[in-house]
Amino acid sequence: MIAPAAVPVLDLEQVWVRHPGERHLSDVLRGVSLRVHAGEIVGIQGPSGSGKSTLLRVCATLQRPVLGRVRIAGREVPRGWHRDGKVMPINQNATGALDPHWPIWRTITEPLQARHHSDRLTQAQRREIADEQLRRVGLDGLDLDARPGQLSGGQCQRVAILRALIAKPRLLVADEPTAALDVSVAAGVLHLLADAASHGIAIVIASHDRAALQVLCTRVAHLRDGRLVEHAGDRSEPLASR
Amino acid sequence: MTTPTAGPDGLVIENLSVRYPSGTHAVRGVSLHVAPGHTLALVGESGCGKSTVAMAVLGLLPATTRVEGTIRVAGHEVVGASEASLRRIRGLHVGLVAQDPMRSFDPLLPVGTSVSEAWRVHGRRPPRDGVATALGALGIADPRRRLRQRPHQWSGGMLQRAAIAAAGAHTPALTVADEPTSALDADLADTVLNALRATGAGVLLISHDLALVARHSDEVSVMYAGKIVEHGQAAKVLAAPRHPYTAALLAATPRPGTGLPAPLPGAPPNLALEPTGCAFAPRCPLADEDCAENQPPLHHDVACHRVNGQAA
Repeated sequence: MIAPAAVPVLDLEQVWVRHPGERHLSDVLRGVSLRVHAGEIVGIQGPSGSGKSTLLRVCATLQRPVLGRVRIAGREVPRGWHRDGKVMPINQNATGALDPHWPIWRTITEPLQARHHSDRLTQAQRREIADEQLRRVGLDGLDLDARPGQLSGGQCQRVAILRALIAKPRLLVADEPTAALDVSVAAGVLHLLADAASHGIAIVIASHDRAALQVLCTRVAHLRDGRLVEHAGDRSEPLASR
Repeated sequence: MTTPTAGPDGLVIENLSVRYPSGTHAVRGVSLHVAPGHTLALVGESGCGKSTVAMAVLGLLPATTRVEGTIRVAGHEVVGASEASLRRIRGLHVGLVAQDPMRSFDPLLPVGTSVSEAWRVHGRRPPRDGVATALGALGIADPRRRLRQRPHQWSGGMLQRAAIAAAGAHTPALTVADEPTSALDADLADTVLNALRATGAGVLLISHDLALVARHSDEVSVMYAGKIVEHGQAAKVLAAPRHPYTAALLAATPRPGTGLPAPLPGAPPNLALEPTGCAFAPRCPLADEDCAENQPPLHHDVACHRVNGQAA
């Protein structure tokens, strides 16, 4: 277990988000504060329409709050923030999140080709890396040239998570990553996320599967009336020393 | 049951086999029975044939599919029935609640119009205020106003209750519910299933959520590679599974206080190929040579050489 750094990876301070409602503006998030340190997994639960997805978009720096601060690794997210791979989102619908025309070796290794990764890799190198990653999650039988349409939902979700992890992000933001999966496959995804956290990645995950959040997370937060209420998850012990 | 044609049996399936033109042998000799007022859950991973059974019961498989065996819904034979008699059976004797309520309703029509279609398609008219009363009973507040709204103004849980009202329009002997709550929140899932069971029809519940099945079904049949591998009372099977596949499914289900769930190794087999031995053997921790060579029959409600071997 990596000791949590003093500076949280994600720091939301009094975040407000407002959506246009039927008659007037409604506050979806009403002063949400949340700190997530390296190696922590924080679960977000709440009924449909409680603002879970909005909160996760704010965490993933995909949406700006009307009020409040969002800091990633101590740095405030500036206007025009270019996403440099520090924060990676994972969606419920993995098949839709992958480029249907790309072979999976290309999808998995694409973040390594981003601007800040200076050394360009050859196709052979990228295939080798993708192969190694797939082996790691028990997908070694998969054809590197397969397109997402040829894979099952569970295989696509694992490919999406491999892609999210490959450039070593600081924060992973997962919105219902197991909702569309069989229990047998969902359990594998939970292990993959727990493994990422043990390597020091901070994770925020929303799910309506309370049992899954309880076994996976170090803390679980309930979103109600636009505010968060936290309680401990099953895996909270390693953080007690903090 | 007021309908005179409704027999004493909700659903009887005997030795059902379904083969798709692609060569996939999706269902391989399934027999099951749902008594009126009872809920039978059919569980298993994707690609085990659960939904094919559901589609066969509704007579909704493509005409090119080869279906053998017997499916009787309230005494009416579905296998080989003409399209005209299938149309009569559907709705009058068997209702359907599908997976995604947002796709079960015409987005351009008021919800009330879609629900009353369940009567009009059989040349009847819903009783005065019948739709609103049915929805009110299912916990929809202010149903008269709500029924004039379009589906996008309803939540998924409300639409699923409207689907239940439509499926129950003619008090059928059986409702087929194919993953009815996988698009819904956990709290809503319980509300929807309580509503479904309260209709009094027999329910064939297709689900991969074992926690949900434990709360809402009387009996459970576990399906693997087109066959039923374990059957019994839901509480009993899920508390003390006998087949290794049932045990593996339970171990993969997250339960607070028990650590991370254990994923199942491998994937369900390709159903286009006929297995020589037990279809689960390649993924089974208990498998030996016998399992690889001989298919285990369903014996005392379990199809497993190792379990039945120990019992003998």
